[in-house]
Order: sequence, then C-alpha cells, then structure tokens
Amino acid sequence: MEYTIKRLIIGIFIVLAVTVILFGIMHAMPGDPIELLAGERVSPERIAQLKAQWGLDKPMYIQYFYWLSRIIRGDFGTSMVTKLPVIELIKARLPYTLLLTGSALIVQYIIAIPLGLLAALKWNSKIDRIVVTLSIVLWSMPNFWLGVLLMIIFGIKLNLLPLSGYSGLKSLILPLLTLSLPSLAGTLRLTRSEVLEVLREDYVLTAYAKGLPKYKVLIKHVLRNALIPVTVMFFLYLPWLIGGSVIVETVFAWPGMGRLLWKSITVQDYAVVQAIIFIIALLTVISNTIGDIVSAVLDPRIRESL
Amino acid sequence: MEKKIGSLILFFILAGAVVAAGCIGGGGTQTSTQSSASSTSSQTQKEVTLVIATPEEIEGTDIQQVSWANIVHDLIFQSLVVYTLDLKGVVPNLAESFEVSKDGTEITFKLPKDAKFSNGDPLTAEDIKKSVERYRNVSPYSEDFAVVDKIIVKDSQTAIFKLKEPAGYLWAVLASVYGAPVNVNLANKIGNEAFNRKAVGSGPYKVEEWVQGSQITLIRNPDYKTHIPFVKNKGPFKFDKIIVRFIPDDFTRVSELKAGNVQIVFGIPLEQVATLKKDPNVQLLSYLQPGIDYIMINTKKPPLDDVNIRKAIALAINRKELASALQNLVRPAYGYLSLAQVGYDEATEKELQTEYSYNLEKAKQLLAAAGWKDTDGDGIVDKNGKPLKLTLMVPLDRPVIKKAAPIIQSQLKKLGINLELREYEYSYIRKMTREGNFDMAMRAYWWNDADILIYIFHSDAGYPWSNPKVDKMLEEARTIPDFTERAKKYGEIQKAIANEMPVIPLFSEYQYVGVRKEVKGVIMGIDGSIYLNDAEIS
Repeated sequence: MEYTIKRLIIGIFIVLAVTVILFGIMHAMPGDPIELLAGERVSPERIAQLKAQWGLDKPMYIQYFYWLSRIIRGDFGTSMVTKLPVIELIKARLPYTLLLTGSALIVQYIIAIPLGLLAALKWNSKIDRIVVTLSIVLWSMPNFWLGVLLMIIFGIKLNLLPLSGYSGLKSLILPLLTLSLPSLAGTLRLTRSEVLEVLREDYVLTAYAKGLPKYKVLIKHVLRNALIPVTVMFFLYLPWLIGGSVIVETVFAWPGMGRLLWKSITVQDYAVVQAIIFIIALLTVISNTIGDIVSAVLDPRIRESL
Repeated sequence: MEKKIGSLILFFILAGAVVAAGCIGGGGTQTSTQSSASSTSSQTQKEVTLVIATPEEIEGTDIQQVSWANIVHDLIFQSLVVYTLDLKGVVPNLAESFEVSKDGTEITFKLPKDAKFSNGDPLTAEDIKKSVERYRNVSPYSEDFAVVDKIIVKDSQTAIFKLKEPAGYLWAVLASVYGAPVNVNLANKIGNEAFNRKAVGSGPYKVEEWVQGSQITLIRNPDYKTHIPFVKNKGPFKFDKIIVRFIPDDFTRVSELKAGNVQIVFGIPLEQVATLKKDPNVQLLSYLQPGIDYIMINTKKPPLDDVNIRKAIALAINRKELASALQNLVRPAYGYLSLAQVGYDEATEKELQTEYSYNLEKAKQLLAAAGWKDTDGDGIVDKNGKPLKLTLMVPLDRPVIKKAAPIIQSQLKKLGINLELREYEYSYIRKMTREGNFDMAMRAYWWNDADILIYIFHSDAGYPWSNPKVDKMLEEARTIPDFTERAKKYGEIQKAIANEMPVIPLFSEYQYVGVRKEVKGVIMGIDGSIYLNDAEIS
C-alpha cells in the first residue's frame, strides 16, 4: 500500500515534469502556429496582433501556469488551428484509435502467446524454426512498407478491401494487420524465450518428477512464471493505445489520434500537442504503476524485494 | 489469481474496443458512411456522389477564420465575382452585375432579387456589408479590405463599396473565395466556434457532416445560382453529394484515384505525374503556381551588399538546366511574377530573360569587378585571402525547392562560390529573413495578384531590402484599376527590383490535379481555380 502511494506521488511529479519539458520544447521550437499558417500577405503587425489574441506575447512561464491552471480544471484549451476546443478534437479521434490499437493488441496477444508457447515446447523442431523465422521476417518489416504492400495486394490487385479511410469494420482489417503483425512478432519471441528459460528451471523438473500431468505443469508452473514479463510489456503498451500510430494512421488515412498529434506538432498547435502528450504521460505513469503492482501480485519474489 | 487478472485485462481491452466501435457506430459517422455507401450502390434513386481527395484537412469550414482555403471552401461559398480563366478580367458570380465608377473609387454590386444563403436565409446587400465587417475582425488577412472606406447599402440588392483610393488589387480578394459573403447573422447567433464547424455561405453545397481527420460530406444547395459567363450550367451542380476526403499520404491518395474510389485528387506528387499521364483512366489537369519560387538575398550583409555579387549569382544560375533536372515540372522565371498572376507582363518577362539568362562569363566578370578572384587556384574565389563562402537556407517542407537546392549549389560552384545548404522549416526561414539572420534563403509565394510583391519588397514588409522608389511604385500600382495599365506598372517595378537583385527568381511550379476520365466538364483557370458547375459523371 505504502509502495503504491509512493509510486503515485512520484507519478504526479513525473507527469508535471513531462508537461514542463514539453512546454519548454514546444515553445523553444522556432515559429508558432500563427506564423506557420499565415500566408505571405499577412503583415508583421497583424501577426503580432493575432499572437496577442492567443496570449503568445506573454512570457513562457505565465503561459505555462495559465495552461496548468486550466488543465487542473479539466479544460484542455482551444486549438489555434481549428479554433475548436481540444477536447472535441480528441473525442472525435479517440474512438477510431481505440478501435484500431485495441483490436491490434488483442490480435497480437491472442496469436503471439499460443504460438510462442508452441515454439518453446517444440524447441528446435521444424515448427519452432518456422515460427521463429516468420517472426524475424515480421519483426523486421517497417510499418509503412507492410501497409503499402497489404494495400497493393488486398486493395488494388484483389480489390477485396477498402484502401483507406474508415467506412465500416471492413476498412479496419488492413490497418489492423499492419499494426499487429510486427508487434506480434515481438511478443511471440518474448513469450518463447521466457517459456524456454522457465522450462529449464529445477522446479519444473521437480514438478514433472512429482508425476504432475503435463498440462498442469505447463499452466501452473511454466506459464505463470513465463508470462510475467509478457504481462509487464502489455502494460507498457497501454498508453500507446491512446497515442495511436502515426505511420499506420497516415498511410491508411485513419482518422485517429496519431495523425492528430503529428499534424498538430507540424503546425505547432500547442494546446492539442500538450493535451495529448499530457494524457499519454498520465496513462504511462498509471499503467506502469499498475504493471508493477500486477507483477508483484504474480510474483511473490518481487513483492518481497519491495 | 493470475487467471483472474489476465481475464480482467482482456475484458477491459475488449470492452474498450467495443465501446470504441460503439462510439463510431453510434455517432454521426454511421449515417454518413451508410448514405455514401447507398449512394454509390443504388443507381435506382439516381443519387450521384462525387468523391474528391485533398492532402490537407481543412482548418475549419468558415472561410473567414481559416488561413488556407481549399476545394471545400470553394464549394461552400460563392464570391461576388470571379476572374476570367486567363485572369485578364473580372466577371460576375454571385452578383448579377457590377460597375466601377470612372475614378475607380466606387464599386457597385447588384445582387439577384432572390439571392439566398444555402440555409435558406435571404442574402441581401446588408449581408455583404456585414461579411466584410466580420472579415476585418476575424480573418488573419483582415487587412485585405483596408482600402474599403465604407459599404453603402443602397437597397437590399445594391451594395456600394466606397474605396479610399482606386484599388486594382482588391479584385484578388473579391474574386476569391476568401472575400465571399458568409451568413453573419447565423455566425453571430451560434458563435464563431459553431460556425467554423458548419459554416453557411451561398455556394453550390452546404455542409452535412465533417468527420474530423477523415472527410467532409457536402450536400447540394438547390438554390444555388451563378452568373459566371464561361460555365454553361448556371444552376445547382449535378452531384447530389460531394465527399471531400483528407488523405495525407501521397501513395494512398493516388492509389484511391487509380482504383476509382476517388474521382478528383488534388496535390498529385511530382514522382507520380509521369505514371499517371500514362494511365488510361485518369486525365491530369495542370496549372502554374500563381507566384514564384525564389532566393532572397540579405542585401545588408557583406559581401552580399554588393549588387555585382548578387547579379553574378543570378547570372550563374542556369534555370533551363534546373528545370530539366526537375523533369520540366517547373517553368523558369526571370521576373518576379508568373503567368498565372494578375499583373504579369509578357514583355517584361522577355526583357528580364535576355538580361539575366545563364551567362557564366559575365557572372565571373562581375565577381572580378567586385574584387573576387580565384588567386590560390582552389576553384573558390577569394578576396583578401578569404574564400567566398555563403549559406543558403533551404525549406525542408517544400519538396520542389528542396530538390532544386543542390543543383544551384553545383551551379554556383562553377562560379567559384562555396554554397553551404542548410535545411529548415519554411516558417523558420521566413522569421530568420525578417530578422536579417541569413545570407541567402529559398522561399516562395502563392497569390494570384501582383500585389503580393508589396508584402516582399515594400519597406513595411520587414525584409532587409527596400528602396523608397520601389515603395512608391508599389503603392501606385495598387491603385491602377485598368488591368493592362497595371501590368505595365508592375513591369517597371520588376525591372527596378531586378536592377538591385535583392531576390533571384528561379521558377514557378506546375501543379497537377488528377481527374478520372468518367468525370467530364471540369473547368480550370490558369491559376488553378476550378469550376465544377458543368461537371458530371458519364
């Protein structure tokens, strides 16, 4: 309990530090949304006037405290580009991103864990080698390349699936594959190596020697121990469920958060970038904390070392 | 225990995905996807949908609040007048007719009797006045209407613009979608924020739904009426619906065109021009950049404060070679205006071309006259033991300019100048040039009126170079109402500027719009303004 509270307090400071650093970086970058967007026929005076309207003429620390005091009240501010509330922009994008990243995560774990387990159990067999080779191939595929490849095959040549955009669940398939296949390979390899390691432990040998049935050994002793790092990894993924994937979303014109973040960074739409990073930072801290607690629950050795 | 946690986690993820799917389905998107699907499948109802793709999402739908207009705004709003396709004159659009007083300080617009906004509200002279007033408050380009002293509402159909002085350049705003009337009464009622989501003008379409990050669905305005003489169909457009999709990735956008899912695509990347030209299902429409890409020189910083060096650089740039290296997707520019701009003067362009075409010998002489010679034989000219080394700021977010930079670097090497390239974002370069913190910088401008020169060469523009004589000429040129007279004046201005060479013109870029062959009747002006009035899917 004490540990949890300690972690949470540290977490708050981490989130605050992230916002300060982010604010500093964003404002240290040359230009601002008004200069970035204004065409050539806006005079320097008008630019100054518009900046004052958005409070950009104030010193940075004042701007930061304005921002912080608004965030505490739950107000994420207004986008300088669209002139719409940031919360509205996020609300419009979040469902699409959750749908994509959430289903990608499910697919990834559902496929990767059994395959990883299988490869480990059949260590050095043909199946193992096929799975390992396949995972190396998938792991080394860049997202954008895989996306374009899938698009050419299923969208253009076979004309089976929509190329881009969101038009029902059918349009989810290609971005989902693009997002889950490479990361699936990572989880698969992690599962496999962890299971292999545990299989060599003495207590597994003891369990077998006791005469326990194979499946019981596997579930009670092997999986329980092998899946701890996999579970922790899972929690590290969670914040990026919200963040989305810039590359996949751009290639597939998916109306998600990743593109919103990327676009907002390129035009330095401070309020939007800060809101999204703030949410991601917050989630990172929370899910890391939960990840730690969960692994402590799963593994008594970690609990004791705290 | 571990099982419970595992299933709990799985539950959360599943629940999250279901909720996400539910949010998407339950929101307005469903209706739009369904209706667009039904519109393509059910020919029985004869609902025709046109799908357009653009690389950039709109900032908002309200033309007065955005920095950049795109096709969406062209469809929602309707300007009072438009330029002719060759930019040689102005013709009515929303206005039934218009008249300019002899001294050029009074423009009278006559609106049609039954003019309406697309939501059915009447559009009167009062609305024209209110629109201009609102533009002055909210638009980043609020100074566009600075010359308008007041607008007199003579009767509900007649609005008279009283100008402080004659202003030929005002047409650029009045004839563009930026200056189009908006439903100010509605904007005041629902607030700027709501209006930016769903703006109302008098254009051929009205906003049905804007799915952020994805697309905007527009439905036909049955009351639309135009007076443009060069379109046949003066009434509502032939598509019941137009969906404008925002597809940022070049490959994806072009693939959608090739696959036939999208009928018109803006922003065709240069790499794709050659392949698309061969595609039997696609026609490419091209237009020239209304403006030029150029190199600005810091005339206050030695040794570039010497006009001979600047001219030497201008003469050492081989624009023809540059254009062919860029696969002739650019048109060499010797003057400061492009063919696709009001105020362009053919004679001046020719004159400047003869004077500043590639001439390495002359360039070397000019450098030598300024005291720069290659004394140590290393290929780089020097003066007082110092080699001539300059930096060129290159915008990394402008692909064509970026490609041109290394070619210019090698061309200047032949002159004996060591040019170092440094890449920055475009807006940073603009800031640095205003602060005088540069040697040479590559920049560009886009605006279909020559008046844009005042924002680059006038002393108020805040760049290093200015000249009181040119200041005065630029101010005078603004006030000339006659198109030909004005172009002549801009010819003189260009020659006066070239004489001091603070800016070296490079080229204008060709732009491409991809249109499926089954779409007929798309009209495009030389500056890229597009008219879909007569367009239909065969």
